[in-house]
This record gives sequence, C-alpha cells and structure tokens, in this order.
Amino acid sequence: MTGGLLIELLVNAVMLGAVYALFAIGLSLIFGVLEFVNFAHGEFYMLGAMATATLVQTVGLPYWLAVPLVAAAAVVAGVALYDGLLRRLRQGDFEKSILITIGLAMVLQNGALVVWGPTPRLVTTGFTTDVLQAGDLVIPVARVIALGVSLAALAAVWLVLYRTRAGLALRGVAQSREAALMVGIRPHRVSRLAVAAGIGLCGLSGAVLALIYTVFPAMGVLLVFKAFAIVIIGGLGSIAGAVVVGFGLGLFESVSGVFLGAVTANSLTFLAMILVLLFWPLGLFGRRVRL
Amino acid sequence: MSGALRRLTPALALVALLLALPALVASNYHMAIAVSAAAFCVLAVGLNLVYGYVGLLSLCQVAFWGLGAYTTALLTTRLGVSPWLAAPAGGVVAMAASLVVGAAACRVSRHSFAITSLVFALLLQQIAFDWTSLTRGAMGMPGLPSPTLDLPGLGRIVFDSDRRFYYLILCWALITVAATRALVGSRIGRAFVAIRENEPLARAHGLDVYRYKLLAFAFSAWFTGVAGGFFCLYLTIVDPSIFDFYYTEAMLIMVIVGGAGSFWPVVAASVVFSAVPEVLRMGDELRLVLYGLILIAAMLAMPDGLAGVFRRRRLARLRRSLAAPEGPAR
Repeated sequence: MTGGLLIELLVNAVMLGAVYALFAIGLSLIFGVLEFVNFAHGEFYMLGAMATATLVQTVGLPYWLAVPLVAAAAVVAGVALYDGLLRRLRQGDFEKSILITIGLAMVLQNGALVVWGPTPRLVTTGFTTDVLQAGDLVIPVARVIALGVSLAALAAVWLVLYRTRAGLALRGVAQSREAALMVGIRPHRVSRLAVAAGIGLCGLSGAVLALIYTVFPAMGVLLVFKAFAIVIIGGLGSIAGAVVVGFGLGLFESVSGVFLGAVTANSLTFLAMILVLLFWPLGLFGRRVRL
Repeated sequence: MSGALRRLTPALALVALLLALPALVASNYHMAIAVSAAAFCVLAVGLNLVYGYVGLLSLCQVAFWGLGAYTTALLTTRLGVSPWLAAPAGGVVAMAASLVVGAAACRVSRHSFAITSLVFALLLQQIAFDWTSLTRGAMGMPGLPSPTLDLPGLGRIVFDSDRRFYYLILCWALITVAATRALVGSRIGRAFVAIRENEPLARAHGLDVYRYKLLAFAFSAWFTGVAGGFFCLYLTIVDPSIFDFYYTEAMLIMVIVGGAGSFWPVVAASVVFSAVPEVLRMGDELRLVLYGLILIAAMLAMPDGLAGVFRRRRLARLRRSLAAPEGPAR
C-alpha cells in the first residue's frame, strides 16, 4: 500500500468518524437528558440532506449558504418536536417515546417519498470534481470541506458542553435530573435545548454528507443502524463514548471497505455490539443509568 | 359442562365462519387479503406476547418472520426438503436466533433491548441483500414449491391457490392463537405480567426474570418463524423485502391500537388493519404516513388501546349502575 492511499484512507476515516460522532452525539444527548431514544433521528438526517439537495440543485443557493440554513431549520424542527410531542411524555415513558418517534419516522420517511420520490439525487457544486493533488496523493475537495465542517461542529459542541452555563445545565440534568431540579435548573428548558441541539446536529450531518454521497428518502435508516450501534457500544447517554466509538467506526469502515466487504463490516459492528452488551452491559463508557 | 359449552359457542361459531369464508367470498383478491390477515394475526399475537405481556419492546419480530421464510426457501430449493419440514425448520432457526439475541439483550435495560432488537432486524435485511451467493440478493429466490397433502381416500391436495393457502395459514393462526392464549392464561402468563408490571418485585418473589423473558421471546419467534415459512411458500418467492420495516410498523399499529397486553382486541385489530388499507386503496407511502399518524395519535390519546377505552367505559357504566339506587351520587 502506498503512502498516498494511506493518507486518503485516513482523511476518509476521520471525515466519516466525525460525521458519525456528530450524529451519535445528538442521539446520546437526547437520551442523556430525556432518557428517550429518538427513532426518528435518521429521518432528520435524511431531511437535512434532502433539503440541502433541494436548496443547492433546485433553488440554486451556494452550498456554503445552504448548510447554515439547513442546520438552523433543523434546530427549529427540534424545538417543534420537543414542544409538539416529547413534552407530553413523562419520565419513564420510555416505550411510549420509542413508539411515538417510530410513528414520526414513518410519517417523515414516507412523506419524503411522496414529496421527492425514491430516485437518489446528487448535490453538485462548483467544487464537486475538484481535487487536491500532491504527488500520488489525490483528495477530493468535497471531502476536505466535509471534514472541516464536521470537525468545526464537533469542536463547537465540545465548547458548548464544557465551557458554557447551558452546557453545564445539560450535563447536570443528564447526571441527575432530581439534583439538577434542586439547584434550580429548569428541566423543560434543558430538555428543549437538548432536542434542538440533537436534531440540529442531525440536519448538519445530513448537509455535510450530502456533499459526498447520493441522497434519497431511505438513507436515514442506513445511518441510524450505525448510530444505534455506536451509542450502545459507547454507552447510552455517554457523549465521550459516542465520539470515541464514532471515530472508531469511521476508521474501521474505511479500512474494512478496502480489505473486507460492506456486509462483513456491518455484521462485525453488530457482533461487537452484542459482545459489548454481554460483557459490559452499560457500554464501554456507560454511566449508571437510573431505571 | 353446559356452561363450558355455552362459553365455547361463540368461538366455535367464529371458527366455522372462518372455515366457510372461501365459500362466501367470491374473488381471489379478497382471499389474498384474508391470507395476509391470518399471517398478520400470527405476527401481532407474537409481538403482543413479548411487548404486551412481558413488556419487552421487540422490534425484531420481522427478523424471525424473515428468517423462517429464508430458511424454508433455502431448504426447499437447495436441498429439496419437503415444505412441511422446511417451515418448522424455519421456526426452529428463528427460535435459535431469538435465544442468541435474547441472551444478550434480555440482560440489559429495556432501552438497550429495543435498540438491539431493531439493529438485529436491520442487520438481517442487509445480509439478505448483500450475501448474494446464498440469498441471490435483491433478486430473491423465486419458484418455491407448493406444499402437497396426500389424504387417504381423498386424493392429493396441492396448496397452490389463495383459497387453499388460506386454510393452511388460517390453521397456523388458530394454533398460534390457541397456544398463546393458553400460555398467557397459565401460571407462566401471570409471571409475564408480573415482570411487566414490576420487575424488581417479580424478582424479589423468586421469579427467574431472565428465563421468563427468553421463554416469551423464543415462543413468539417459533410461531412467527413458521408463519414466515408458510407465507413465503404462498408468495412462491422470497426476497429481502420480507425483512421490511413495514411489517414491524403494521404489527405495532395492530398491537397498540388493539391494546398491548389484552388478547382478543389485538387479534381483532390484526384482522381489521389487514383489511383497512385494501378498502381505502391508498398508495403505499400515503398509507404509511397515515399509519404513522395513527401510531402517534394512539400513543398520545389512548396508550392502552381500544381495549383500554372499552375497559374504562365498562367500569364507568358499572360504577354508575352501582351508584344509581342510592339516589343522586356524590
């Protein structure tokens, strides 16, 4: 294997890993704060990608403008999701939250099929075919941009979570809802923030990956499968776990894409999940979930 | 004795009606709906056992259904095994899979159980798509043989039409309903409900929660797997769409709207929701949008389903009739 191929592989791995991490952080954040699993997570990612495709291809907006628009729309969708549906559920309505979000996923996915049709779309921009070249090293510009955007978003998430009062409140509620209530943190506000941020990250990952992969209404299902494996292996509700395992999966998939088939990679991911559940039921980075 | 007979009369009348249905229904189209209603009945009863009675939200019932179908298809086409052996073998494979997945998933929280089961179902569909040397991928395996039955004195029955398959799948649905009803009415069924209601308390009473969960899971997997086997023989083809999430969504609607943890309302809902889309004649996507909306509305407005609505109404009537003789109550 040449050094060039190795670097390409690495860029791809870090980019995939960053997007997986972004997506899984959202899932983990919502679980950590609300103790609900959002089964419609993949559909918001799909909507983000489809909206990006529509804005860039049909409306004709430049890509750099479409991304913040889509992310902002996703945040609004997150607020609507919280105030419209999730707010009505009580703590411990876990199965209910799953069933409601499954219902929502059905509506969104099939609604997208009605609106956009099943044909995969491509997002083409001025730099779609550009590459960075140095010797035998060839890296598409689109991947570098995707990498940059997702790493910047990851850094922003970290800053918000660990350097702001809102982040402190989020982590506080995730650690202990009752204790957070006692020191004057308002659970509804924090929950709304968590859902808005989680869905916002979904929309952003959709907008980023739309630059690289084709977009179609069923794409959310494929990603949510991986995201669930990531958060289970990393430990439900653990942000650090989601990041580490997200990057790990990105690396593993890029490498196994070369040496193994896609099937084997998915099966091995699932196998890893089963093994982790058997030996570390709380996940590798799991906190003690109150039940 | 006569009391038992009287109690059984409605059930016997219903069975007689079900058996006479092919004579009453003219078109093959309606018979096809009846076949899928019988199959969905097995699916819904299986999910109701696991979710409604034990409280485990299993999103991989469709995996057992598909495993049964693929096992049956592989055994009949590759090894020439008789369909009558292949479908039960499919059930056995599904049950074995349920034990493996359940062994991992039943030890952890119910959160992780739901997710693990979903990921398992998605994984099997991926494998069906991608392992082309075994499953022929998206092309599927067509040309599955029809089961034949040699009856002494009556000749040979070939199950190759909607009508004949209706009897076959109806039989399996009746067996499933009877066996599951017997299970939930037994001591084991009460243990299931105890686990659902309060797991720590059930454990404190000495119930081996883990084994009861596995039992329910494997029991439903067996019936679902065999049903999947028979259903693919009816379709005469199996392809990865047998693992479609659509089946899970339909099952959930039936169990939730019927009322999770109530027996007969779920059976009724499975029949109704198999017929409704055909009556409405909507496109697949719009129907699923509607199903999603129904699911959300049912969870918000009547979380214990129609069964719960009827139960509350009956109780209210009972309370009123008790209060009435004493003049204005309250």
